[in-house]
Amino acid sequence: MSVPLERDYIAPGDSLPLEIIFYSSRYTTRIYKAPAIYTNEDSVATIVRWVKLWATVCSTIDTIQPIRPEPSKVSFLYAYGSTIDSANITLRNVTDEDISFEIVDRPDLPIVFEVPSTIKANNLVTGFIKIDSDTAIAAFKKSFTLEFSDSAKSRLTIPLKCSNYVGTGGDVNLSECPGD
Amino acid sequence: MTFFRGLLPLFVVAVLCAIVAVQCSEDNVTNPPKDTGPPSLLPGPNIAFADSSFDFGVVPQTSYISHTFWLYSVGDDTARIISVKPG
Repeated sequence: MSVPLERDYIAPGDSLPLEIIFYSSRYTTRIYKAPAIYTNEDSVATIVRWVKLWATVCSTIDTIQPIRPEPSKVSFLYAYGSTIDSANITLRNVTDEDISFEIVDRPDLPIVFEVPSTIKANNLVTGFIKIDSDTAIAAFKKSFTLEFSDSAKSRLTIPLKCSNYVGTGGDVNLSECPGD
Repeated sequence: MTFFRGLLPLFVVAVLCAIVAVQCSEDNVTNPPKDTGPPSLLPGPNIAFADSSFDFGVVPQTSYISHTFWLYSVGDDTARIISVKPG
């Protein structure tokens, strides 16, 4: 887990993003993480605050999810000067009821997630994820989190990874993430 | 007559309610809420979270995922993040 901070202070009335980047490699089950934030809010003792994160790490997502994504994670190789980077994505509903979803967390980057938000029973929808920027974007590790309308309010996080790629002027090289 | 005498308390209550309602209405017209300006800051450095928990749900193994929490400085002095330790 890493927590890159853009600065270590917040002026009165200002705000600060605290991005938690989590690597799921070592885990195989439901996990809970609570990064601790130490602050100067007390003049005598250091104050500790926690944020809480949960995730269910699965090696094969298709065994437990009512909605199965294909691919389950996306990797972009971004070429400077290119205007389109996109990946097709399919969401398959393996239940006997229509399920819709909403995006509950998304990267603070110009990335479009364009997939029909209702998936009919035992059916699938296809859309795309696209970097929508004319300018170069630095390498990033981000994710989209979807929440579904099933009774369990299932959630699914789709990782996005982009590596800087200085190409030779050809087409953007785009591929599904082979496994980091 | 006895019948009207029985209704008298109800009549009195109704009149009182009407008077109070009119009074409240006039107060709203003549005394609008005062502008107290921006909310006052707490003394010293103080941090508030917009939200402090998040569930990713199912995530594939061997991948990076991220979530951003927002910290707000609600004190009248600069708040400092001394360190952040992964849980």
